[in-house]
Amino acid sequence: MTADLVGLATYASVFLAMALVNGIACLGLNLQWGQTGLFNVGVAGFIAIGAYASAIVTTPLAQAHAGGFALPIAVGWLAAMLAAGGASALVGAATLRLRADYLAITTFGVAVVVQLVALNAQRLTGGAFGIAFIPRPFEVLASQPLLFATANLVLVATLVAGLFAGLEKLVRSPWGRVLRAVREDERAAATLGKNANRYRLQAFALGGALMGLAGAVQAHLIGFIAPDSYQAGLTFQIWAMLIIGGSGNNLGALVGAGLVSVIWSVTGLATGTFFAPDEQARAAALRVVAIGVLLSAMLVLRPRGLLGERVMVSRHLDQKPPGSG
Amino acid sequence: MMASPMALAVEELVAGYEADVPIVNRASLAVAAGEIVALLGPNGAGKSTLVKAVAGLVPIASGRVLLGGDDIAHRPTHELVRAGLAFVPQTDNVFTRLSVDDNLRLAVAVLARCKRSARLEAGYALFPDLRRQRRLPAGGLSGGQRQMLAIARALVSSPRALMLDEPSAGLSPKMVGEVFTKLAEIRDTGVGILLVEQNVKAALGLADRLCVLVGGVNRLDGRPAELARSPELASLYLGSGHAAGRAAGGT
Amino acid sequence: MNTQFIADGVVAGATIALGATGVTLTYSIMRFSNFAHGELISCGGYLTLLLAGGIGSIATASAVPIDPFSVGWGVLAAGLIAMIATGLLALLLDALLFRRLRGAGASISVVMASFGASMALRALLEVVFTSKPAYFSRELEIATPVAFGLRATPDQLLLVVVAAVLVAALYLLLGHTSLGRSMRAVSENPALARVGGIDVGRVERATWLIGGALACASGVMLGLVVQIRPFMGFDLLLPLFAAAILGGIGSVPGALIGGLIIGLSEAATVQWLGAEWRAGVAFAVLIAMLLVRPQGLFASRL
Repeated sequence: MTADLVGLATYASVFLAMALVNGIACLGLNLQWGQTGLFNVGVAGFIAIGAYASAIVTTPLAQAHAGGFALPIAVGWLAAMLAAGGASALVGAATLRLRADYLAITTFGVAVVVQLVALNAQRLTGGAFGIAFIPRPFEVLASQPLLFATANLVLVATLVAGLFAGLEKLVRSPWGRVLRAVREDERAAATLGKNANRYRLQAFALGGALMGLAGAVQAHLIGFIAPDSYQAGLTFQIWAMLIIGGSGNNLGALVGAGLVSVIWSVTGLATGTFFAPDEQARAAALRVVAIGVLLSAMLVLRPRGLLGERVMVSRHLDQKPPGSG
Repeated sequence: MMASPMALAVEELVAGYEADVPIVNRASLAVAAGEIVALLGPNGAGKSTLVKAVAGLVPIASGRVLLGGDDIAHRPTHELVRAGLAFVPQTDNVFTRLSVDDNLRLAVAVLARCKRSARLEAGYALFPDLRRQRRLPAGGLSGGQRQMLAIARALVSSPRALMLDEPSAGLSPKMVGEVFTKLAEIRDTGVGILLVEQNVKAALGLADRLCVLVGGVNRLDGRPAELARSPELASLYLGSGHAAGRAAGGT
Repeated sequence: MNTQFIADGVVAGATIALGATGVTLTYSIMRFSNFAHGELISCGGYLTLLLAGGIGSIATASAVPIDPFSVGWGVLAAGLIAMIATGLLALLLDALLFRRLRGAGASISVVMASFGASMALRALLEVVFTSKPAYFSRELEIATPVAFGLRATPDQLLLVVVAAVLVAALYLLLGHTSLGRSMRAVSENPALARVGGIDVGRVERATWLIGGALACASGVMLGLVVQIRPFMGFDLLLPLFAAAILGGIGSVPGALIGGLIIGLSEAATVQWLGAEWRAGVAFAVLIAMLLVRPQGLFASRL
């Protein structure tokens, strides 16, 4: 009986840790979209950059992939943030001065290319096999699953709490206010003498860094990574979390992460139980349909999500002309 | 309901880009068939906004817009031309990437099929220069020619009422003379014309009646001959009219 | 130098060009990048497969391949019907989802919604058809010499001809019909179009129908020379956007040229670097254009 409880508790700890990691990526997306109004369609790509960067930096020498630095985990996570943040900065510098759609298309391209490189640049990334033996925090406890899972959970939770506090402070700071002004009415913000694009770039880079961090943390929790984990479905999941939880709101980002993770797991259990093994792939696709429909419905019916603020864009831009019913 | 002799009438119109900030504040005016009414006023008075609201480009909060007796205030914008109301905006008033011919064909498309080629021909007859340039992209025309095309576009749709927003803006005096001559010709065919103008002197020469808007509402109405002599017109433009108006019991 | 990549490139380019044309039309008239366009391509392919199967079960002669092609008239008829159906599907998506978000203020929400719709549609295709690749025909085709030492299969030649016909038809539509004029007008200045009597809603609906039909044609072609699978359209999305941006977003001739350039570049990459790097070419072209000349080759619209 206790073994079952222990098993359940372990599962819950692992689940919660994963949901929180998703929350980190969601916080990053909230900074880009909710606070700054920038549309990143390649979230999975930046998460992957962080994961691979950290993996390469912290793993011992291996034939299958680049690395051999065997640096501490914290360094790996820092490298992840730098790599993903740097990539975001490059993308931003190239596209922020252009139409908003172009940023979307470019980030989409980034995700495709990252996937491509991860899969094909074998010497760097281990190809389809990915990178294994990524050092895990509290490795010494690995033989006691519950303790191990709980320790990792506490680590991740502390990290998320710190990030949340930091981001909340940032949002309320003068920098955050300018960001919101830029999002809501660029022309007004420009008259204030603020270079709108510089602020956007900073927000975009920071958001990207957070996504990279999420990738790194996840990589170290699981212990191995492969290109398969970073496909469009992941981008979609993080977006669903933000839209449903409430964009523009950091707490909403975390709540959404938790909620969607729960829905995903529960539906996963359901399809696992009610569908035959050879139907599993189709059942998984069914779950995606459900999330897709839910996301679209949310956008139409309740764009602010469960907790988010009203998405305000300048009332002068995009205004529907009268008589166009 | 008796058919109104007015081609276009506006009653107590309240309109603005944002619902709580009306720029046009209970303005009223009327344009009879075969008459040119010039809408004057200092900058920011709401002249442009008024015609844009009538044309369906700015939301109307309250009031009536009567075209030949029918209230069109809440009709979809694209139905107004068909109803007989044509509008020539001040800028971006032709499709620069389409040819002159395409611009005009688009304009006659609102008419019944059997009438289209006749009206197209009538348009070219009234504006012979355009016929020469029919294959050119409208963006390749000079400012004055573009203005003529914009007016031609409005005209070929056989409007009952025609509104123009500062048609003389940016044109040489010679071009302004040509444009205004054309407008007089159009007036003589029975169309009611509402003209927003900044150029008071030219308007005084062309218009049959004047309507002066200040702060979104009428301040002065009458014939050019009367108003040209009135000190009020000058003071309204110079600013001191505001105080004079208030002292005289204005709103 | 082995020039076979030119033949492969033109074939791929024709498929990309058709899709890119739909994307560019949607952008220039509706003013948003439709991430669900890939799924219109996939749905077009699958709808044609279904309809061809249906026609085949009623009239078995329809499945008999017409020499020298690999398919019979069943697939061709199905393709035509599916083009209309896909156009209607695009209209439905707009009515249910996009239209409600387009006027509402945050215009980037509609792009997000298109991404969500694309995900749902792709997964739906997987649920209904599974991810196993499907084919229009079991017939194998041999590439035979065509000209200039290049080889192509009869299907590939048919594809290029059909693409050329469709593009020519679109060009005629845009340049010489009332609808085409209205579309070009709305693309340049929707407010002036309204004031001039054009029903912009009607123009938008026509654009969805045309874009959907072109996407379907693209899907049928892809299914014919490669295979039909749920990800077929999605995998084409980056090349589509790259082609549209390369040509100048909003320009139909631009989408055509852009598509051909991307197709040729991809084929060249496959020939010299390896097939696995094909998807990176579109991205490279995209980044290069955005850095050097973001307005594209043909800066003007439609």
